[in-house]
Amino acid sequence: MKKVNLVTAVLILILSNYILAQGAGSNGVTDARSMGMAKTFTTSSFGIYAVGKNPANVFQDSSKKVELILPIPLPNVSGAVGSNFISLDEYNYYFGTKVTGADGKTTGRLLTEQDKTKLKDLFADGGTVFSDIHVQLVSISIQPTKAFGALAFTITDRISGLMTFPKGLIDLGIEGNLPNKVYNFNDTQFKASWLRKYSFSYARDFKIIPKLFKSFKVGASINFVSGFFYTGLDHIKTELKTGEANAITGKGDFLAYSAFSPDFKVKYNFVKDEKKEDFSGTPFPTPAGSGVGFDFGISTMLSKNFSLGFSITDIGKIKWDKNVAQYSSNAAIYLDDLSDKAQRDTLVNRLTGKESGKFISSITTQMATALHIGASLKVENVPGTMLLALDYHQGMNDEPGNNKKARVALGVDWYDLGIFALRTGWSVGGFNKFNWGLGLGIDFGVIALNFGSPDFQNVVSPNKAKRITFAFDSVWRF
Amino acid sequence: MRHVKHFAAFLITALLFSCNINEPNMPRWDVSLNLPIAKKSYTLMDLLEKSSELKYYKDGSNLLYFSQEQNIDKIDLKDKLKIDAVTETASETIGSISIAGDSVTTDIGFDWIAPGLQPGMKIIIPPVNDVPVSINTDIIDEFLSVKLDGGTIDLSITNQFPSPVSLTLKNIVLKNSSGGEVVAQYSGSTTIPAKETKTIKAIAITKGIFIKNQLKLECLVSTSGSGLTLITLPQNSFSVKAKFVNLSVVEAQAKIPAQDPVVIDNTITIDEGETQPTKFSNIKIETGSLTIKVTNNLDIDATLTLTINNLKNPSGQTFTEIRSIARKQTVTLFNNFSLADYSIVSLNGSPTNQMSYKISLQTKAASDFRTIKSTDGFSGLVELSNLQLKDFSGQLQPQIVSPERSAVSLDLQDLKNKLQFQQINLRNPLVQLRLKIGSQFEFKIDGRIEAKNSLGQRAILGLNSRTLNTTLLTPADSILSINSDSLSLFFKKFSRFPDSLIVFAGGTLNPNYKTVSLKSTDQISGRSVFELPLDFGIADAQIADSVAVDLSNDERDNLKDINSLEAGVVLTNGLPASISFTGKLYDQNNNFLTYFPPKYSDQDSILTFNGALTDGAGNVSTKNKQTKTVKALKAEIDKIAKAKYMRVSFRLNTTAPGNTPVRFRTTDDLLIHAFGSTNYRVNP
Repeated sequence: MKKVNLVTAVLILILSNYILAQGAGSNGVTDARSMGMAKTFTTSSFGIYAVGKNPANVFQDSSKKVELILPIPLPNVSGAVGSNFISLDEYNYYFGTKVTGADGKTTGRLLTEQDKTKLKDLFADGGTVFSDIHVQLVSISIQPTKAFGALAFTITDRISGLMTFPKGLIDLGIEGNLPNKVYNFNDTQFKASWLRKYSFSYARDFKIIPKLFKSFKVGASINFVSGFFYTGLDHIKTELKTGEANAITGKGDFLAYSAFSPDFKVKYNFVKDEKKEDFSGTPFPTPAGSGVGFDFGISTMLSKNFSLGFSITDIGKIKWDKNVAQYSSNAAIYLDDLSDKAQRDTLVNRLTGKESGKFISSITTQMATALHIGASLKVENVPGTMLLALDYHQGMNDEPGNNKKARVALGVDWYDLGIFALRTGWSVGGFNKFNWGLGLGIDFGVIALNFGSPDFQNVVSPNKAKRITFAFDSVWRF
Repeated sequence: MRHVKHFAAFLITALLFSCNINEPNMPRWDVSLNLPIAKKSYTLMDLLEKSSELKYYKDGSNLLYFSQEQNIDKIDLKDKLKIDAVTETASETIGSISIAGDSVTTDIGFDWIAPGLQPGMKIIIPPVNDVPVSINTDIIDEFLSVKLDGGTIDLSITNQFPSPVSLTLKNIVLKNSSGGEVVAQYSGSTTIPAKETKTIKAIAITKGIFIKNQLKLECLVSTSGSGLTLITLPQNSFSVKAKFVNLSVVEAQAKIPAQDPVVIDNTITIDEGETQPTKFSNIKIETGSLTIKVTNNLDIDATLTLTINNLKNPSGQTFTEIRSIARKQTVTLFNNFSLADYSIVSLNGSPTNQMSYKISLQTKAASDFRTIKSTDGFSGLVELSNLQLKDFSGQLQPQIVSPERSAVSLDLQDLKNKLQFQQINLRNPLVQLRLKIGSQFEFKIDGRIEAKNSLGQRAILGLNSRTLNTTLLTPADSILSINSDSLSLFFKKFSRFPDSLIVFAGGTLNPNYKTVSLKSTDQISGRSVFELPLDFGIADAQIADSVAVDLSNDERDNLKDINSLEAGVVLTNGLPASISFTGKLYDQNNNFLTYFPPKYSDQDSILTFNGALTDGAGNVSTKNKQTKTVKALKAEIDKIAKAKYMRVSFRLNTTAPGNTPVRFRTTDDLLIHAFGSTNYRVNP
């Protein structure tokens, strides 16, 4: 068997993307420090790392006035690729096995009935594959004086996508079309996008009720978002059933959209123009859509060591109005004659909407709006200093980086260990259900390096991993 | 701190070397598929759209019928418009010959009175009694001799003596001076006063003798004398003139003057002796020739005038020829003279089979002596070759037309070789000959239809009054239909369709001898119409064929992934015939692989579906719905995957008992609903 070095694969992934370490949503990747703390950040991210998480914490009690994120010495990378249903071991078992037959031909594994049952069970809770890559070329935050407050500007690229295989499709593929059983595909999900967010943030300590609040920081970000491509399934209610005389009935019902930057030269199948133009990739394409979003946050210190925080991020919408296409289907399905090409073609069309594509003027998608509530406690002289943070994240939608299932995370940042800081954390709920984070920071004063992963268990035992999540970044502080 | 560094190093090492991702290989697995294979409804109307020969009656019955129309070979009339060659000879004699020079004269001197008397002498003429006188007449210049069979002589005697001398002549004889034959004789006497002439009329000429050129006069002369009167002797005592009257010359050696024309006025008869000869009113000739020879048997030249009254040249002028013809010569006036575009017309407009012609010979006067007889004349030969006519108007003799062979191909495509049956019972088949007669005439048809199939079975059907609706074709009635009963019996002799019907069609042109107008370009053309209503009973019909199993290599590979297959077939049979099907699959080397449907202990290789029930008229009344199951196991499916062709066999039996005909209509249909389950190995 040919072994593929995981790190090599990740590096390839990294090289093909820009790197950013700003998080988004309730579930998306964030900076390396937060990732090591199982994506805890509401009251534990500060300065430039607070952009996109809790803008109130852009203002920090620090002697450093300027923070700068640059590609050197360490580019900022956050990435997550994987699924929620199949581990590497399971992948290798089902999809990575070669068998040589008596005729010398090599084929894949022949599944037994037990194998098929186990494979079906893998999808019991839905089979989702996803990818979430953050890239940041440059960020800057300035805090001239505490009285002034803090300003920050970041440019964030996010290429993310997820696809959920409907359980019905898996059942259909493994067991065939059992008579009288309804196979529906309502649990299908698919979304993918590439967004570039230009965030302008301001935060300040307002000293409200100083007797109660040692500090009361409020911050906000305005985000100008450019979308370079979007594809997504709005809904799907397609279902099939094999009835009397094996006639296949059901309905094809789905709605999907896509929009692409004109610079990509993407050609839809319903465009009859025969002019061929190759796909063109560019790091600065013309946007296919744009929107404005807001982040708002509050962070208070009730005592020197105890903080509470609250934020709502990515309030806003993106309007896609370039090269926008719609594919849909909303018609009954009936097949009682497989030899009838017209029936077969109709079935395919109603399932795939192949011939339904058309240009529309625009669509609007939500940004990954999420609510974050957190509390943190600083414990000094542990040795070093330990920051314990507890977060509650609630995504308002299932946009990439977001999940409507609430996630609770507990993170620990043990720093002031010389130049090092150790991070760990645990997260339950959300898309991944459980995360055990681990991270390492090295602070050289002017520059700090951070490494982290919210899935430490996958690093130790990668073959049991269903996903790969990894982040590292560097920050300059003056 | 050191621990932290070690921890970090361990992390990186673990990260780099502890995970493996194998190269992707899709697994294989068995899956059950339950699929609707086909749901098709076929009506017999669908067949119509695929076949140009299959039609249906639009009289409400919707009964299908097989129809073929074909042109039959044309019957040209060109060789029927003809007149056979005719040769006619005729001759005519000149008959009575007229000659010039029709009198002789002689002067008699005085020797009979006394010798030595000379004119001018004055003497007294003594009385003389019956003194014989014999003297030659003058010579007739115009002939040397003539032979008469009739005529008279008027004898004029002139007494030249002055008064008072009278003369009496008796026993007057005219004879040939050289042979002495008596030409004419008058035994009476006649007295002629002085200086007077007396004529004895109509003395009969002796028949059958040649009158020579010089005659002799003999007679007895008496005179009373002059008494005492002295008279001066005249030049001659008396003169005699013999004038020939009403001569009927039968032979002459003479200078023949121009005679009256000798005329042959005759007719050429077409189809002489026939009871129904061809009679023409107007004929235009396409090809043919005329030969005319005339022989002049007279010893005199002549001018010939030929006229054929009925024959007109292309300008419409009567055929006439004037030619000189020398004596004793044969002249060919026309030798194979082309009569193309000439017309032969009836002179009075009524059809006739006779052409009149006239040859007139006008003799020329001969300046030398010619021998001619009354029996001499001339003869003519008129030869008309076979005439091919361009146009004919008249009464045409009934003409036998030899049977022309035409093949009516039954384009049943492969059915004639692939369909075999015990017996076929056709109801109301139709075979028609729709003929077009190009002109106004009648035609009585006579012939037969033959058929033979690949099994060597033959049948012959005569085309006559027993089998046809009519045998007489007229411009008004030109459709011949063969009686359907005769046709049904005809087809019952076959257990496989013949590939063609051979029609031998001949007959009689103008059988009722009517007046017709025809052209050589006229012809009898037409079409044969073969209609076979699908109203028949067929027993044990078998259709065998070989079809290619047209599967791509990918499809064959996919078949091998099928572990088992079970298909249900619900067939609603709306056809009035039961259908049985079986197939045998063979590989590329013609090795038998398996039956289809495969044969198992619980499955037969023959699928049979009963036919729909019919009513008394043979129409489908109740459809028959049946369900059959066909299964195939892995071993047979693998064989099917190797098959290159399949020999299929269908067996049909119409549902009405006793092979009674049933009707196949456009509304009859077959509904096939097939669905199946298969255990299939997915092999991405």
